Amino acid sequence: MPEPLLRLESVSRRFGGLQALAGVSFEVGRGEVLGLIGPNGAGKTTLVNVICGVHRASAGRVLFEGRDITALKPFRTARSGLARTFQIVQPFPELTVIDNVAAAASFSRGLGVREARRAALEQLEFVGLAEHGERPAATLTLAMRKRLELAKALAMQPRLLFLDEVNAGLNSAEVEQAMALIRRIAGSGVTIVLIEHLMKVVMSVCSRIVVLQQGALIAEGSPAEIVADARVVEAYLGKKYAQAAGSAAP
Amino acid sequence: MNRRRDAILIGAVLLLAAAPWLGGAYALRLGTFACMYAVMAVSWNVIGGLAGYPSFGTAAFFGLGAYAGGVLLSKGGGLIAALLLSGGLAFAGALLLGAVLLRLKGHYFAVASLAVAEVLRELANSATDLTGGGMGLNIPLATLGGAGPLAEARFFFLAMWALLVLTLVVVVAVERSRLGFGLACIRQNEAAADMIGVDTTLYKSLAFALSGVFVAMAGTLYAGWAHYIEPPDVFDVLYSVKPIVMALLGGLGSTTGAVLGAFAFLAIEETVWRNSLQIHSGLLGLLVVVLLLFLPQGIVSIGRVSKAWVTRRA
Repeated sequence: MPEPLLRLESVSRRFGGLQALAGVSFEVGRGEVLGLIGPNGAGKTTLVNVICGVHRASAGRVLFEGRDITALKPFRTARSGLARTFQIVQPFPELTVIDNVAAAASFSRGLGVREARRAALEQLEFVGLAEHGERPAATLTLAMRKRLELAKALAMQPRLLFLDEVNAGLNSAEVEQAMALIRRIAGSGVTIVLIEHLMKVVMSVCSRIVVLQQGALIAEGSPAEIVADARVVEAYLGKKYAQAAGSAAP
Repeated sequence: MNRRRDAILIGAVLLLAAAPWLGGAYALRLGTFACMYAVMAVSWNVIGGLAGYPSFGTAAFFGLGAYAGGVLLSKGGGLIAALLLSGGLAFAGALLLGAVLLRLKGHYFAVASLAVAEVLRELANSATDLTGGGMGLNIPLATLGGAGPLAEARFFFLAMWALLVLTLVVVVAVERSRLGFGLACIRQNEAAADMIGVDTTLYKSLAFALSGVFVAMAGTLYAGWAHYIEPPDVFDVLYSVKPIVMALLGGLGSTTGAVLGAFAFLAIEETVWRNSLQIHSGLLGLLVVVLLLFLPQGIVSIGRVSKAWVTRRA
């Protein structure tokens, strides 16, 4: 079996009395689009923060390409090939759109500023923001800022990309565009972990899904297996509904 | 716009160099202070304006430079050696201290940086053997071989002016480098900067160190110029506050603004001081408040503001 791109070995994280993550283990294979789902507060974003080094795991290990990255700081994981978008977009508001992306290219890959701008323009064309390159990032609409987040992450040429709710707050036309974009990124060979609440997106884009609830992994499988899983239905809708659904199903 | 700002900056600094030929001892003294203040404001702007960390550490660097250089000068060392020593000490000290202090943000960092000068002042007060303690430190007149007070004033003015030019060259180069780019990212969103691969701890420490080097050198020049320093004089908290006011006055984040702010501040300070000895501090504060109220973006925005005012009237 080939070595997975990312491997979590019973990763835990505690904030004071709150067990945000409890022994989460799973793998992400190369070229996969993995869906990471779970009810609000399940620990999805915390998990990404632990992998990227924003929070340090209280226990367990994170292996990226076979290398232990558990203790690495965010800027180190960024330079080693991990990129993420933020659920709440985080542009540099005073910089122009192109400089936002150029900063990502420059600091993650060590490019000079001029080279980084060239790389940035490519990514802006890819996400469809090229004509807005000279605007300050603060003046973009939410949908554009989400695409800017994506361009920033892509400019880092990651091998593993975390997309944290890139579709939240978008209207249905914008979601369609974003889905097409995600498919194209996956098509270019980048492994993606998609955190998403919109089941339509998860079901159509992901090849495999893992489900978190209250910091623990409760299910793992193909999209079809996941929607049929009684524990997942229970986590989202409650026990009663899960029983009703279970007895209705063959 | 940027080119015009550059032109204003170069013009102002060159104009200042004419001071020795324009006036006597008073003009020289004022010119030396103008250069010293500008070095402080431009330096503060690196950590406060570019990186967004409001440092109250200027007095610490100034006093450190004054004492490190002053002690070496009083033991017969040369001025160049004294400058290198104080600059090197400030850079290394700030780099180490920055790695600790810059974990704090906003007000917490400001208060912590304020404490540094107090600690150094107490050290200077108690290390009597080296610094003379509360008696102060005399620096012999031998620096220029007794060329007379006016020649010496002229020398220290030109030295301070050269230090300002050096500071400007380095700071402008940093602003336009990747370091400056990274600092702009840190100021606007530190978490996001970290996430795209900016080594924030290193960059912030470098900015803090840069904000200290030239101020420490200015302290050494001041010690040589004044021939006498004492702890409450060179570790004066006002040396921490004034550069911030100057940078705000000129326009936060702008190097040209910092220079213009320093000159404007000195002009205001000097006029107010001469004309109303009793309430000069109060008047100075009032003037600063008025300026910040009507020109919140500082002197560099004066063209934009007046244009907007004219169009509104028309």
